[in-house]
Amino acid sequence: MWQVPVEHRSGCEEKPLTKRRHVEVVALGQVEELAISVAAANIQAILGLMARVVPPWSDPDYAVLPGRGQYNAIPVLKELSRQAENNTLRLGITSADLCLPFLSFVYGEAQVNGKAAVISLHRLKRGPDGKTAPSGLFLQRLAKVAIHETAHVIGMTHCRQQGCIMCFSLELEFLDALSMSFCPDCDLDRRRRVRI
Amino acid sequence: MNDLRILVVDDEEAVRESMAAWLEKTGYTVSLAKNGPDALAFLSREPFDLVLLDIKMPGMDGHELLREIRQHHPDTIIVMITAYGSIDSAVTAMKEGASDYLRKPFNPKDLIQLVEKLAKEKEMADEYRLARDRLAAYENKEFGDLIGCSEVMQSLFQQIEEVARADVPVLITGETGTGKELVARAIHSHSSRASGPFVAINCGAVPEQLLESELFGHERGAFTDAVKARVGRLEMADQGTLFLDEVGEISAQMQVSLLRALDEKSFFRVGGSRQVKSDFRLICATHQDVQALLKSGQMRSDFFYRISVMPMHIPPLRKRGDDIILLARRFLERFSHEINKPIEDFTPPAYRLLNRHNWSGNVRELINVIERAVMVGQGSKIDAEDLSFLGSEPATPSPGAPLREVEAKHIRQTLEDCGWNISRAAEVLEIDRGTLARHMKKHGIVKPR
Ligand SMILES: [Zn+2]
Ligand SMILES: [Zn+2]
Repeated sequence: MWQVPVEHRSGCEEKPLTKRRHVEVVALGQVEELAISVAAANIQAILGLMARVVPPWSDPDYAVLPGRGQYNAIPVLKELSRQAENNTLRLGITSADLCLPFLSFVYGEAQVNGKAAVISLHRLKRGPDGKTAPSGLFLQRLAKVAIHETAHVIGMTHCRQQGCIMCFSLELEFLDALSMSFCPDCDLDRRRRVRI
Repeated sequence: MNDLRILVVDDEEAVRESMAAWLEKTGYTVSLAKNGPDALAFLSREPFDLVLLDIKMPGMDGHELLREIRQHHPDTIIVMITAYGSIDSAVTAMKEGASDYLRKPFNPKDLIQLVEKLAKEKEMADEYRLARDRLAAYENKEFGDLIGCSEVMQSLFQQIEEVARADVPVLITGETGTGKELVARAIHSHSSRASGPFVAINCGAVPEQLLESELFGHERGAFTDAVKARVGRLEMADQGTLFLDEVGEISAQMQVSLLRALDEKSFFRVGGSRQVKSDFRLICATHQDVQALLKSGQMRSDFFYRISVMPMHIPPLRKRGDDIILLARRFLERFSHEINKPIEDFTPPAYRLLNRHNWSGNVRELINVIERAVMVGQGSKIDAEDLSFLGSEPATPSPGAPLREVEAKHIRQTLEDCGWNISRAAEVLEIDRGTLARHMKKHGIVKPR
């Protein structure tokens, strides 16, 4: 469990103890448990936001785009952010293939400066030869996408610094080439935003 | 990161909001319009770099809107968004001025590449604009052929404009080489007489006995050599400006003649009896101390007051601060271009040397120095070594300083001027290296680290 810090602000009326901002990592439908905990652990360790795993939600089939068989990420984000308490951000993880009405696919999608992000495991499992990627590689990709999308939620935007985790990934090879860390500029930005 | 302003025009809400969400992650500014009139309203309020425009919309369709935007916002880049199977429509749009098109649902790669390309282009355009603005600011530092960023020069430029407006005689004072003629020319070209001639004469360069005919002209047979009649400078300057440089060299007798010519706007040629009319503005200049000229009687006070209605003083280069570097770079640019030698800059020691030099010959000396340095320079930058001849200007010791002190100061100065190249300093001092080393030791001179 995370510590609940005691905050007193002079000049303000006495408030109930405010919970520190944290990320709820939630499986949307059938998702392997390991993936959920890896995402949570990395968000906490690398992004620097408290993260905890919460009980799974049902498959977001309400978001299926007719004729495409893919899930539109936008309604999923809306659902995730609905009724999210103050200081609670939500990262949804789905096995379904995510897309946007105008884009053929996305690894993940997020509300910049919002409440929610969602990532898809569907394409992350693909190995170089079209077979299934080794488990280590898959989890690494998942961690990167989880950190990247959650960073968007706290307001971070894309970076052009080679290797930085905030670079936009066009392909899996590109994603694999990214480091699991922020470039110095992004890291400064991250620290500023995490402290808020 | 460079900010790109993007306008998304699509009648489908799902597309609009997902595009906004996705584009927001790039850090660019995104606005959404649900139809043509909406889009035009956005565009009239603020500029956009990119419009992502859906071809098929009810009401004003994509093509119509495209034409409107092309007409009123030609700098905005338009990318059409089409559904499957409407390639013909997209091709038509390209003919109508769209930059590109994307087919829904498109690969994220295509969109990001498009946006990144635009961002890069915009960055370059911004950089170009910035460079151009900087250049424009730099050009403000020039006044005709005069260049200067220092406060004294800026106020001089202002003064030139004011002086130019008033059609009265001007007296320009300033050391040799400060550009008195350039100032006179600038006054002329900013005056109402700009379309008239600018006639210059250096009174100090013309022998006294010839100056009179040079200025006033002469009739045939006026004196033994006068086989032909000749038009003088005063006459040539009719409707224009007459610039008399080194006016302190003019004899008292000639000052009287000039004074009369100024007052009456007419004069006689030497040996002539016919009045010649000439309407000119007189600008005089001298490097001499005018007060001393008046005191010694070399300049008549009535003449002085008549020619110095508007006095101007050009500061010496050593008092012009950053102008030395500004000018040095400008001349470097000019000369390296002229002789086609790619020298871009000065090394830091060379800059130090330029800044510290006394420049008693002012801008003219600087021009000569840079021209010479460009000739002898070997590298891509002018080094202190290429300016070593500057070090030969004698340092002015304070009167009564002990010889030992003067010697130490001179040696140190020379070493600095030679960039602490001992061989070169020895050469300049006309002693051998060993002797220089001994002197350095004696005075405790060591190369600063
Ligand atoms: Zn991203
Ligand atoms: Zn970065």
